Amino acid sequence: MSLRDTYVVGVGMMPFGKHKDTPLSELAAGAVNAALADAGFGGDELGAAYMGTQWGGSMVGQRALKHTGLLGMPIVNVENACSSGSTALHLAKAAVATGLHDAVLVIGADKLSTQSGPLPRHPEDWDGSLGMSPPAVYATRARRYMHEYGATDEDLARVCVKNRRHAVHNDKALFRAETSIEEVLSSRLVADPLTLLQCCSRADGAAAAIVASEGWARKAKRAPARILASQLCSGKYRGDFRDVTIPEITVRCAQKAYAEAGVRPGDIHLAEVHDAFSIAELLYYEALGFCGRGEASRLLRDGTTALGGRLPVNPSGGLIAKGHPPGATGLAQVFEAVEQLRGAAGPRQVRGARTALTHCTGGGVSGLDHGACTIHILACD
Amino acid sequence: MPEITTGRRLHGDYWSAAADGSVHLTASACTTCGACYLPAIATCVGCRGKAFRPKVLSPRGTLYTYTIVRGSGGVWPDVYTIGYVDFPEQVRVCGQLRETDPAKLAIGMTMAAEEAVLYTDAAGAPVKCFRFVAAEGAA
Repeated sequence: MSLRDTYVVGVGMMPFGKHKDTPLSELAAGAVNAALADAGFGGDELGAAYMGTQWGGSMVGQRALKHTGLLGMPIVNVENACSSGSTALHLAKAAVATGLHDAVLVIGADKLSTQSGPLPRHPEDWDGSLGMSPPAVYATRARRYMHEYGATDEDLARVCVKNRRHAVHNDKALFRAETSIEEVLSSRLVADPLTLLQCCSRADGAAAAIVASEGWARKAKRAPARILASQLCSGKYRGDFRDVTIPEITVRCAQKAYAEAGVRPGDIHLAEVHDAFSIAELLYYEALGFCGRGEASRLLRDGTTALGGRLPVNPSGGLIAKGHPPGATGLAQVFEAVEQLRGAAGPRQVRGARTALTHCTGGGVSGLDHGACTIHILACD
Repeated sequence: MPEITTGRRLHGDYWSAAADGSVHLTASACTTCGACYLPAIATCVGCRGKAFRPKVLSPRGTLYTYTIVRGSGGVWPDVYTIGYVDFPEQVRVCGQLRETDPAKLAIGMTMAAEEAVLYTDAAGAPVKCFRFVAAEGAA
């Protein structure tokens, strides 16, 4: 089957933060209207909508689009934990690539500020039933990684220092003040070695994108970004001795994404990766092929992944600085990638950015590395 | 096995306490290829076999990794340790650990199982399960 080229022709995002008084549906509608305005579309171009949320509840797409005058078209509500929004993008891309629709809407939203503590795992999950919360999962990975490769607490903290520095220039981020290694390490222990500032924060937020074929991309108001790759993988179950320092689902998904795009890790100019916890960003440098095994700390220390370096990672500030409304996160990454590829990212612009990678993975299921992983590679000429 | 008269046995199909207080874990072994699972699974990952038999695990395993969790909220105590223990039967078991002093924990330690109250449920009843504790010798 021959597939058509697909483009992200518009992006929109509501600032991530604590919007306790704003309903989720209104946050999502705001992101949709921003994406339509960005594309210069009125809405009649759209053939379907794909909505990702983890905690937004039933019919969230319908509830959101009620505020936009866009009801009536097919709406698919998608749940894939932290990869919900990016899974919706994957489905949207497939719908356009196969010719089912010429232009579709993708939305991601979640609202978490009304609760506190770690996100709960499903009651049927074995590890979760024993107290293996999301911070604990990443903490066990961190401890094993430090044991095998000699990474230090300071190496973990540097991820947060870098990403918070990036977010100083991002008015959509929850945390916009710089931090220091000392401040990160002196925040309270959540699950050792991870301290509070090494854990992404619950947040409320929404992001949206419009995916279209070449015909509609030519009519868009701003530069479209071509989708070179859109990959979705599920985790594989193992009951034996998995190496928790190798996020195998990300390794597998990245190999497929690079093959689909026809690019190598060295061709990527910037990446938005799923830094739900400090250790995650280090593990993903290696899983995405940005460096070899055990080399992630060096990549961070030598500035390669900071703005101004060869391969800036999380120029938006990542989950660590932006906050994490799981359904919205994958599309917020795409928002950042598209703005960067257009050269419109202002003080946090990555110079010469033509190819960007977004990576979103999560979902705690016992025996799986993660439940879901999505990787998108986008490019502007 | 002594009768447990109070509280609820969490995951009670997978552990038993002997009269001397020792606890053994029971995994589920594929009758085709022998692969062990704890908890049990309906289809073997390796060979897709669907028949399993109980397999009592060796009394000791090796601590693969762990963390001391603080202030988690919910039903959990303010401080608890949780990790993964690798058993010679090639099965990794998630469980809590008795020790909460970071100076007394290390990757590679030998662990055995004991019975413990993990938390008190909403009705006020203690919830019992296996838990790992440092042991002498090698796994």
